[in-house]
Amino acid sequence: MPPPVTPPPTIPLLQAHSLSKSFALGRRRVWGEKRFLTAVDDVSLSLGAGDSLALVGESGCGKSTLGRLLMGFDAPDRGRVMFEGQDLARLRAGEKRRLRARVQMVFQDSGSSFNPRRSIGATLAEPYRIHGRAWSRAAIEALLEQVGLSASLYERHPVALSGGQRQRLNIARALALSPRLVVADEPVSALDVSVQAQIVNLLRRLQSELGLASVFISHDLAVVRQIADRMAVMYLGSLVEEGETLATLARPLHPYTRALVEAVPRPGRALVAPLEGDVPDAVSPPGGCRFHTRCPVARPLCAQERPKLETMGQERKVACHFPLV
Amino acid sequence: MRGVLSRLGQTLFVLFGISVLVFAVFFATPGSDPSARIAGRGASEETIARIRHEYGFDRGLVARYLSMMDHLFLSRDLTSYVNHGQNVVAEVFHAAPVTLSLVSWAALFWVGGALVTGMLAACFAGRWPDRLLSGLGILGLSVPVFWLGEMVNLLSQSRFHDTMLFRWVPALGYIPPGISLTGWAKCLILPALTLSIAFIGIYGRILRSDLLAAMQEDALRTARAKGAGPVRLWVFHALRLSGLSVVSLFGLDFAQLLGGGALLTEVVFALPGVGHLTYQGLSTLDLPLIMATVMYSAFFVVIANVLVDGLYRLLDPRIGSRSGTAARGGRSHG
Amino acid sequence: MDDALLSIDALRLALPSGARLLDGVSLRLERGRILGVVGESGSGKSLTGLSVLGLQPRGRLEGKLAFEGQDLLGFGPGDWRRFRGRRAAIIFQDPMTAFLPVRRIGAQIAEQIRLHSLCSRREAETRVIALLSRMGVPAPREAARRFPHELSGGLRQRAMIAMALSCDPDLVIADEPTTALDVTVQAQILMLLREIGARRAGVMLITHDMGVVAQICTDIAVLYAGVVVESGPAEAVLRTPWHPYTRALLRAIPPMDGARPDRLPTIEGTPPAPEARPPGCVFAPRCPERRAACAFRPALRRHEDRSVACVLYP
Repeated sequence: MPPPVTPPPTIPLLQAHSLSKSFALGRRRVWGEKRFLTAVDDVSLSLGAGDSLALVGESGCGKSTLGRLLMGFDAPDRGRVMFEGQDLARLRAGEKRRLRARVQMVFQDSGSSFNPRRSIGATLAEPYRIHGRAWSRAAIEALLEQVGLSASLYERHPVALSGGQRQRLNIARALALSPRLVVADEPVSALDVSVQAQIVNLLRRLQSELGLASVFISHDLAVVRQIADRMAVMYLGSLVEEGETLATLARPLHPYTRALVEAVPRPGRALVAPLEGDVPDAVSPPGGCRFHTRCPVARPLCAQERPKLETMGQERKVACHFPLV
Repeated sequence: MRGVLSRLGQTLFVLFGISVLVFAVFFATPGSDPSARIAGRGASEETIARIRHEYGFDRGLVARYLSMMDHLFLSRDLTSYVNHGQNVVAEVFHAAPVTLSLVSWAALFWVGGALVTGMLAACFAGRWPDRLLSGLGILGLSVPVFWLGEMVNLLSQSRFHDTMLFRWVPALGYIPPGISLTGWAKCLILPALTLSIAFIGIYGRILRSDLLAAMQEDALRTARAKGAGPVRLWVFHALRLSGLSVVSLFGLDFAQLLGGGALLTEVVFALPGVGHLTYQGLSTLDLPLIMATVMYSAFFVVIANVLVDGLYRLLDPRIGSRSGTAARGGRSHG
Repeated sequence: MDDALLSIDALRLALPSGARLLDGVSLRLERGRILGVVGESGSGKSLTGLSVLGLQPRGRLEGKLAFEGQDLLGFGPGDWRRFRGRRAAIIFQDPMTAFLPVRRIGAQIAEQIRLHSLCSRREAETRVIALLSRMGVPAPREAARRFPHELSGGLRQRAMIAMALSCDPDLVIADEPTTALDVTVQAQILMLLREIGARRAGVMLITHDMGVVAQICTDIAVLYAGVVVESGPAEAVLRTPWHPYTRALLRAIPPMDGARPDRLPTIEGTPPAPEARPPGCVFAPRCPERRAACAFRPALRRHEDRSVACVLYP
């Protein structure tokens, strides 16, 4: 096994340069225009080694698509993803395979992602086999204990596991090849509160123990606050705000972020509906600022001109003509 | 509307492909020189050569194919190689109403029968009516249609013909509705029932399992929560939801029966339908007749497909609407 | 005694195999109140809601289930038909699958109206449009002509609520009504539910989200492994939870304000499966305060306006 190459400190672990991705939907009429759904629209991000970033937004905002682009599962229509300074689109097949070992994904649905006929030990040996690495039973048992599962589960089958244990197994599988980056898509949203707390703690511990960089895709701000140091808020495919998590949640700059924060039900707060209506159809998003149709502080300019993501103060960025201060 | 146009293109392509295939198989099959067969047994070489020239068999394959298509579709005067002078297009047009009548009656019986047996079996799932119907269904499926037909004939035409039960049954054969509407119905009821038995078995079973699956849907729980009674639940909700797969199956079966699939029934009950005609063409290797019947049946299968598609769209509004949500970026909650 | 709209006492739901899905559910709901029924998956909270309408998928109910003093367990099929939709209605979690996908929204709501009152198709239609507009559906006339998949998630859930309210029920059961919705839409739907509670009907809100309970419920009942372990006024229970399970559950929620804890307090282990419930206190195996007396199932005891089933509160 070659020693992991540490990139020079100036190059971030992961960089995304103006990523865009749309999906063709087919025409509504024979001679009608071909319609596209823009899932990700000109998004730039960067993540250092050991950083944790949360992608936050409502359904259809493009956060999962962005996650897939960052993983190299899908190729962006425009823009580049650089991992350790290398453009994912230009990697040769062999290099891409090696990259797969260093970037891993954890999904929400932990039940269906295991082969029920394969033992837990064999499930965890699979990544080693695929990547042609040597493994031992001891290494896999150590991996099980690292995620808080008993080493005695080695011979058992995934069916015997509870939801929380399955998600631990999922995490163990992602960690098998000692990745540098883990992308987790709603890793705890299918779990009950008490189990969710266990998994959140586990993810936090792994981040600090292994120096793992992580991207969390989540709609749950309380979980995001607990798990990620930075957060990026998406609305209809674009980033509207990015910054340090605690500061962003305490004093949001974008009206949409504020609405998301206010919408979290919690004791001691009056119930208010922060926004009218639903998220608009992503096939024909509103012009100008995409949020202006629901924005409580929109002004005429917002319908005409699309705001750019600009730096404001310390480590904060916002795409709004009239940010909240 | 995009669907209809592309369907039309597909249809034409399929029909063309089938015609080429049938034509090619016929002429590429060794030992099937049509000139020899037309000339009859023991004909001299000269006669065969003359026939070969007369019928244009000495010309190129493409030219022969084109001329056959011209005779089949444009001038519609294609004649049989075997029964000299017989216009096969007219033959098919004569036979088609017979088959259409038979299959329509059968469809009536099998849809009605399947609805009754499927509903009953689903309502009594796991209890004795369900098991009884399941056994009968398998029996109906496994009885060969020609044997059943012969048995029916034996009972209704000879042995018990003069009893109360079968006195009304006319002699074997077809009576067009233009001559006697009641005669038409009478001569078709027993053949149609015979033909539909196997289909009642299949459709009843499919409907039963579809209904039971539909009863497990959230939407049916909602209907119960609304205070809907059992009839409304089964008929207006479960049946409405589960009818979809049966509709598509029905279209295909109906079309393939129209296209000659009812051959055995037609032969047993001496009905001069398209199946009968196909049988005749195949047994004498009469290319024009085979060509005409095959094209006819292909045409019906494709048409039925288009109709089923349309019906499906009517029954299920989700089809044909945009599938955008599937491609959307984020998922919301667990 | 029985002036309550809904009164459930020691309700049990057992399968033929002997597994007990509900193993002692006791709660009371009065008109104009919103009762939050809270628990994790498998706790039996949804089953409790379904049982009130006689919609439990399998098993046999025992105990007491009374609606305005009327025994629901003695109901025949005809009684249930007149009861469901008219006296008590339910709002399901996912309006996409809860509506019949092949019929228009308006027709589905009108069906319920016509099931319970003699009125013409046109009268029902007018009532549907009025209902939709009361639920805050923009362009209600057009929305009524839509199929479920043609509406957004928020509008679908509003239509579902309109259907539940169409016959002016006395009891509305809402089973995780906002779980399938986006957060910004969730608040809109919760406000609608609070309005129903203000209209003399009783609302039973089944949820896993303590924040939701804190914001709109007047009362709370906490379920664990098929048993109500604690109940009382929502504010009091959330401020000073008594039962060790309620305490642990509240602590496990990541905070939205204040300092970020390094580690969230957790409850070790997992809830027992229905066929493997302990004979004593159901929470004992995971309870930090476990003692010898926990080997016997504690009853849900009343202490003024609150109740708790724990040996710590004799």
